[in-house]
Formats: sequence, structure tokens, C-alpha cells
Amino acid sequence: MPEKFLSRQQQASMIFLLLIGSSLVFLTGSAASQNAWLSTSIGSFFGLYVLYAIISIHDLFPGQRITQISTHVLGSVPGTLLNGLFLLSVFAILVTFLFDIIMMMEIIYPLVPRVVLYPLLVLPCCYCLYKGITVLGRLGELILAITMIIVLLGMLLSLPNMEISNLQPFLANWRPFIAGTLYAADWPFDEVIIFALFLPLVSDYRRNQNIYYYGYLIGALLLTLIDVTIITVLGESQANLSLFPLFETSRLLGFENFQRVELLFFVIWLFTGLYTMVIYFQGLAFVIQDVFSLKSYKALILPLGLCIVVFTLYMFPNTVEYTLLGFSYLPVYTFPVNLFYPTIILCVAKYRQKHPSQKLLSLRKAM
Amino acid sequence: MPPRLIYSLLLFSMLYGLLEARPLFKTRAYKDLAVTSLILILALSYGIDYMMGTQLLPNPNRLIILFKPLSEALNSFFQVNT
Repeated sequence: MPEKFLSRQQQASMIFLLLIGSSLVFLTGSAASQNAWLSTSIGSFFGLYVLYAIISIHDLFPGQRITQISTHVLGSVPGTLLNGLFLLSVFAILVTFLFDIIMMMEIIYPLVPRVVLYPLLVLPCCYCLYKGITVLGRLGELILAITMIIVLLGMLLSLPNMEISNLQPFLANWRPFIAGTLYAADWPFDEVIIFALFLPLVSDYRRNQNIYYYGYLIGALLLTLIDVTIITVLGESQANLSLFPLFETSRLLGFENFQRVELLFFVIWLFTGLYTMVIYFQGLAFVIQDVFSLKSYKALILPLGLCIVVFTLYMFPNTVEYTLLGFSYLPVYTFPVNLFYPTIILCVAKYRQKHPSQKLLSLRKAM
Repeated sequence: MPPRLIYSLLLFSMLYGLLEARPLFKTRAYKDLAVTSLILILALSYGIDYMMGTQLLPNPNRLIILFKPLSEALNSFFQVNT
């Protein structure tokens, strides 16, 4: 059983920050146009299910990561195969996170080439991982309150610019609404699957598990409110045209002699974005450690860091290609993997619980 | 722009050599050393390929493009503006 590094509160704040940091300055559920906020709130139920599934799996096999459980429950070959699919999904999501942050950073550093910005972002992430999971948890606790205050402040300051009529017509066409819901379910809600790798590190895991759901639901509620803010301030067409709708919304804020307020928000987007990247980076290291049965994940940090830098450059040479590949094609892969990977393991684990094999019995006794 | 990538490749490789490869070799963790070196070599190969602009290695985007027909079918059914 691994050492315990995280508290329940830290884990809950990590879940909250993952949702906020992953969506960054984008409009979640944007396919649903003016109903994006409703798509986001309904899409959050998919993530809630994934969270339930990973917590249930961990209840059945305490102290083990989902990648270890899958080989125990499904057998060596199918388990490794599923882990491989999950590994590709985690890597693809991580690469898109890095590109998202770089796109945002190019707003304030337009002359610095991407090839310089990538390692500048990845190296601090490597440093954070070298410091260990405890630092990751403490960092989450530290930026949680600041993030909530600044996001809520942004919404409050946007109140005078809001036009409620922009939310109409309500559910005029169901098809884009369903699409928006599925897109929102994939990004950012189903990404909570990464915590299936962190749950064994929580020290007082079994005490009041509702705190994980609270962290998730607060994040989902905040994302829905952000969507409402963006659509009411910018309107549906402007929100869909803009690459960074939340950034555009915050640019409209300002008082008589107090302009460029968006830079205040920019700091928090950068922090949460980087934090999300570190969580996924750590998750990727865990998955590779389990797939190859390595002694420690630490030796993987630098090679994986370089891999992320190079593959982001290689796969997404420009924003147009990224928008097509990352927003349109990739969800077709990541959504089913993130949804069905824990589902398959949970179903088989429950079945095996009722009809236990000798191998599983001996494994339980060992735990 | 691409030649600047060489500094990143060198920096990461040097740090890996100093911080990880030597301790792994000393502790005889050969499996860990092999896997991490393989990942580093993969990254270096793609980095050099990108830097030289030769495109000799298979582009990972080919895997993502496999989902294009399904994605387009879904987007057209759900009337999504891409």
C-alpha cells in the first residue's frame, strides 16, 4: 500500500481546480450556443458519474490505483490493453492543456516563440512534481480560495454589462443542445477520471467521502455561472466567434481610471491552468509507472516533460489545426475512454465481488 | 524558429543524465533506466525531426484523424457549427 500524502480537503480542492483550470478562458458546451450554460450543468452529471465510479472502485480495492486494479480485475492482457487506451487519452488531454495555456500566454507575450514558451511552462511543472504530491495538495489548498474570490469578483463586476435577453431563445433546437452537453461532459467534466490515480494517496479517505462530490459540484456550479456570464455579456454570436470568450468578457470590465483589469484575472487563469497540467502530468507518470511496473515515477518526469514539449509542437503546429483536432476529433476518442474505462472496471469488479476467484480472494487477504 | 528547440532538447537530456540516469545506473534499476531512456529517445527523435523539418517519423495526428469521419457525422447530425 502506498504512503498517504493528501488530505481529503486537498483532494477536494484538486477536483475543484481541475474543472476551473481545464476550462480556462473557454466557453464549455459552446456547441449549444446560448444554451451552453444548461449544457454545462447537465454535462456535469457525466463527470459526477465518473467520480462515483472511481470512488466505488477504490472502495472495493483500497490503496490501489485504477491502472493496478484493472489488471487484477480484468486479467493481465485486457487490463493492460485498457490501461494503454487510458494512457493515450491522458497524454492527449495533457498535450491539449499545454497548447491551451500557450495560446493564452501568447496574448501577453506575442513576440516570444512557442518553442521557448513550452519548456518555460513545462520545467516548473517538472519541478513541482519533483517536490512531491504533498506540495501539489498544499498548492491546491493555497490557490483554491484566491481562485474562488477572483472568479466570483469577475462575475460581480460583469453584472452591469449583462443582458439577460442574450440567453433566449431557450432550447429552440435540441440537437446542438445535446452536442453541447456531450462536449461539456467530455471537457472538462469527464477529466476527473484522473483522480482514480490519486485516491490511494488520500490519508483519511473513508471519512466523509461527500467532500469530493462537494468540490466537484462547486466547480460545476461555478462553470455554469461563468457560461451565463459570458453569454449574457458577449451574446451568443460574439461568444462563439471569440477564441477566448472569458478573456473578452473580462476586458469589458473597468472603471474610470482603472483599466486593463483582465490582467488580474489572467494571473489566476495561468495558475489554475498550470495546476491542472501538473495534475495530469502526475497522472501520466503514474500510469506509465504501472504499465511498465517501474519502481518510482520520479525518473519519468524529465523524459515525459520533453515528450510533452516536443509532441505539442509536432502535433499542433498552429491554432487552426489545434482547433480542428483538439476540439472536434479528439473528444470522439477521449469521451468514450474516460467514461467507459471506469465503467467496465466497476462492472467487472462488482461481478467478481459476487463471484470471487481464488486469485482475487488472495489479493483481498493481502490488502 | 525550430533550431531553438535544440536548447530544450539539450537541457532536458542533460538534466535527465545528471539527476536520473546516474542514480538509476548506480542502484542497478536497469528496467527503469531502459524505459525512461526509451521515452527520452522517442522525444529526442521527434524533436530532431521537427527541428530539421524532415517529417520522417509518423505523425501522431494520423491517429486522431482516424476519428474524423465519426466526428463529422456526429457534428452534422447534431447540427454543430465547426
